[in-house]
Amino acid sequence: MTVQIYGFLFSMWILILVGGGLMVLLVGPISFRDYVDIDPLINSGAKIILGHSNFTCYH
Amino acid sequence: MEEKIIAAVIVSAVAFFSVYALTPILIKVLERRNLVVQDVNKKGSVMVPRPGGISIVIGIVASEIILYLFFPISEILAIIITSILGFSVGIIDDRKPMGGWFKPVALAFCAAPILLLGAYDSNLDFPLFGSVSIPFLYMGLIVFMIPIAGNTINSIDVLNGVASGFITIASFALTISLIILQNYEIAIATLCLAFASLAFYKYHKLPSRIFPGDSGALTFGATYGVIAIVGHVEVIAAIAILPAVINSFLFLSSVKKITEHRETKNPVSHTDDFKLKTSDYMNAPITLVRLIIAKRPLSEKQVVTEIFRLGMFSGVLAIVTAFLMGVEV
Repeated sequence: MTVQIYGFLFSMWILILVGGGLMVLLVGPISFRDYVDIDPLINSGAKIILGHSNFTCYH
Repeated sequence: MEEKIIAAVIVSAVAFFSVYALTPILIKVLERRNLVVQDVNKKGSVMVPRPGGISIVIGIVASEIILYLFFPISEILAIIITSILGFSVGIIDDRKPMGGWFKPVALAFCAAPILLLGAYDSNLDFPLFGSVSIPFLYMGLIVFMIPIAGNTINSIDVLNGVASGFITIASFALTISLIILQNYEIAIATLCLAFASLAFYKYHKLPSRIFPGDSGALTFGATYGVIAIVGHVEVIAAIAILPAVINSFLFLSSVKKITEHRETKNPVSHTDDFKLKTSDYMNAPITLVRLIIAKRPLSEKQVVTEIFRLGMFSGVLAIVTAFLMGVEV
């Protein structure tokens, strides 16, 4: 069982790296500030919603 | 650089020796006031003084104040205030056990100094891929980070020496990671936590002479959480405590509600020779300890050693992640 826990930890680590990469690549470049003068907080909130809907679609 | 080395040596010594010297005095005071609880994993009725959070917070705060004199930056001030607030939440719960929601909600307010002092950067860094700017989400992350870190460390505080030993391992891994990332001031601030927890481990290790209690565990967790934010190493810090995160996740997903450990069925029972074995309760929560002893009963010392090995493994993964932060694909 202990070996499996190490394997689980390692898998989680890989998932964190890959998940972080997806977030940077997919959500990071999105910006509405190029088109309209928008508050950074609202821009960030829109990114979260888009990121979440992408995540939900993939599932 | 010389000033940083001198500061590191001084604050490490203050953190270590203040906890090392204060804890025996605290043990005597707690015993005299009959503030003791039973160690359920020992044969007979072994009573252990609790809580030890007072000596922990004094060690951390005293050393961080000295560090602030060297480097008067808002990040260190945020660490000092958040640690004190985390301790305050814990000591309230130690005095009078509150409901399951009390600690997460109260700890969320402990994040206020970070926001008020502006001691954060809203870019979230990931290894290999760079960073993403999410100011709105990041403010939410700050509010959630302290309760998550606090409760994560608190939930792993189930066997002698685990909480203090585990946070010592994670803190040293985080210190090395911060040095790799050349964030020296916060690396020194992390040393305060590492040496305070190491000194407390001397008395908390098997067989425990004192328990940290909620005040100690939440001080460890809140300090660790605030360092992760102000040091801008959120991902690395989460990786360093991954076994504890998994423990919390398993607990929450099996219980399916935010609750206190004492309100659930014990996931562990004992064999005749007092080794730990999985509980017969079907609805007892799944925890890291339960996974470790799933195959065969183990002594408390064996389980603690296994948790520390898992902590060291995660620490190495955290350090590797820090190296990867400098690499972009």
